[in-house]
Amino acid sequence: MNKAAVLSELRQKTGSKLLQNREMWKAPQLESGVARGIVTELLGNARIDWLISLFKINPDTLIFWCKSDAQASPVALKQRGIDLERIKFIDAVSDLQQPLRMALESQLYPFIVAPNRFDEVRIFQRFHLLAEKSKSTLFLLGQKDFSLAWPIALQLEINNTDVETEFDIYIHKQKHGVNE
Amino acid sequence: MRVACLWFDKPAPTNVLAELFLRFSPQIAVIEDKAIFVEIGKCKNLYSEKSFYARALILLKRTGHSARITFGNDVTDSLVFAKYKTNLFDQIPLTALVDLVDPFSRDLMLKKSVFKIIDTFQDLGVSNLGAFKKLPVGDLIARFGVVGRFVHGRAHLNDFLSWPQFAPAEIIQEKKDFPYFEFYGELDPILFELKSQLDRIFARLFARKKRLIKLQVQIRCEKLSVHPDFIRKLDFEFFAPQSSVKGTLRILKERLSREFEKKPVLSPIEGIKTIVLKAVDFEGGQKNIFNEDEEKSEQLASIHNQLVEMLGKENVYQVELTQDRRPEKSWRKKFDTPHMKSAAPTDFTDLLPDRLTYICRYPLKVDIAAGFIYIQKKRYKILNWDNEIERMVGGWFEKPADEIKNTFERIYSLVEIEKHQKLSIFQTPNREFYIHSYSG
Repeated sequence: MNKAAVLSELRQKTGSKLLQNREMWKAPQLESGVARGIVTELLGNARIDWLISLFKINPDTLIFWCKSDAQASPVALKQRGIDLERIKFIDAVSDLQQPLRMALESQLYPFIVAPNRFDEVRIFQRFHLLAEKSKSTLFLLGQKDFSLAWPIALQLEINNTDVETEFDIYIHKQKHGVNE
Repeated sequence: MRVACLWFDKPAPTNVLAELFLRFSPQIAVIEDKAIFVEIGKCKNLYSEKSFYARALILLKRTGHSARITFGNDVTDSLVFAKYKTNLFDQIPLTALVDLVDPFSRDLMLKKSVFKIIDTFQDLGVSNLGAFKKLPVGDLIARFGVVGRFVHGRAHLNDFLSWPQFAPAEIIQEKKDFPYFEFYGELDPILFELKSQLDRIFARLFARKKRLIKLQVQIRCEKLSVHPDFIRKLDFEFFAPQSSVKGTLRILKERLSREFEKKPVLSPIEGIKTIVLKAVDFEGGQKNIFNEDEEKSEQLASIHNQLVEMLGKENVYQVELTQDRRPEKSWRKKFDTPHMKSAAPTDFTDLLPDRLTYICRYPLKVDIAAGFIYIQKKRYKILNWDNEIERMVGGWFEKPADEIKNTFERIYSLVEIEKHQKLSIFQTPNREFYIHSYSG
């Protein structure tokens, strides 16, 4: 077993241990769910549909949605059963860190969605600490490849399948919620 | 009647401090710079004298003042207890007669006469109120007339004194000057001072059963020829009435940091003034211990305010649907009332075909040829093409004078390309294709 594999196994084991008392959000077609208070990265062409389903099965929670270029379609959200009053949209053209930090610190938004425009590990680390404290889950929408930053606890690639209502979910990294 | 007297050994702004005690009782009287009287007898079912004492001490501590607090059956006895530091009425010196007869200094002639009486009886060896009370009233009337009768009555706490009306200041404002302590545009000392000013302002508002909705902060710098903006006036209008310093201070901090970045302070700051421009009524009383909706909504409004200060009003919003079918116009931004339910809109979304999750900022022109779609010169295989799922024609009625310019005619198709990526593509009458929305 090479060093990377050993490290990966150790990390997975540590994650499994950490998980035991962690609260989880129910998530569509992800049996373990999504842990609260973590940073998550999503890729794929069905990630928003999956995210909307997650929001739908966890109602009565507020959503903080930072957007950059494209606008999530409010009609699509409504059609998929999301109450638009739950969502606060933020157009953050330049610095995303401050509004995200503010939303995490406020502890009022259990779900936070933002494009992943960050490179530095210390930024992810800060988000990770704030998310853990506030028990909010930060969903970062990645560009092309998964980030290598260690504070990201869950990385999923979610794509459409032949069946309209199903998702093809590939778990790239999962520190919490692994079934033992 | 039970009256609490707060006696200040050092001169204190009693008119401002008295406002804070409106939370206990509306019946308040003040001796300028020296004492505050609060009638607490009628509220004995709400709080005891002990709890009043404890709460009053905390209130005074917050404002940085200290006072001696005593209780009596009238303004006068509570006053003399506090002033002479004893609860034994009979042992209080005879000079206290002045406070018993005219505590609010409303009649100078009467006061002069009382001083004469005090001098006379001190010469005769009557040194305290106990001895004075034993004197027969007839002798006092014979020697000092009507004044003697009145003084005797007051010493026995017989007559009732009317309370002067206490009216709180019309404008709530707090200010501080810095005559020696010079600092420029550093944010921390300003925030430090603003915090203490806001503490006092919110305490005054709370006592009046009001909440803050509009505030002005004035920062006055030393006047210099090279510094045109030596007075900064920053107006704050809050989305929700504010009742806590923490949230309000964060909003102020955002604005001040932006303000100082934009217009640096070039001369020393001489003073800071905070003025309440508008306050609204709120229903006082005990907090709902079964839910925290009220606090939560205030926190939401506060963070909304902070985001608006940071990013600008147009960048922080919620959305509501419109009845326009065009994807880009089927919703509009809503800038106020964060997360509040609006009047139930007509839900027509069931009548529309399923929209994809993202709308492009501008429709993206694409080419279609032989089972392939070319997006930005890249070729993708078309797996499925649902033709004409929606046709939109209209716009001619919006600006009839402009005729053709504002009209639109689109035929939407749902297209699935490689990796099951879904696209919503529309076709124009001149057979051009545009991607308008996509899943992802």
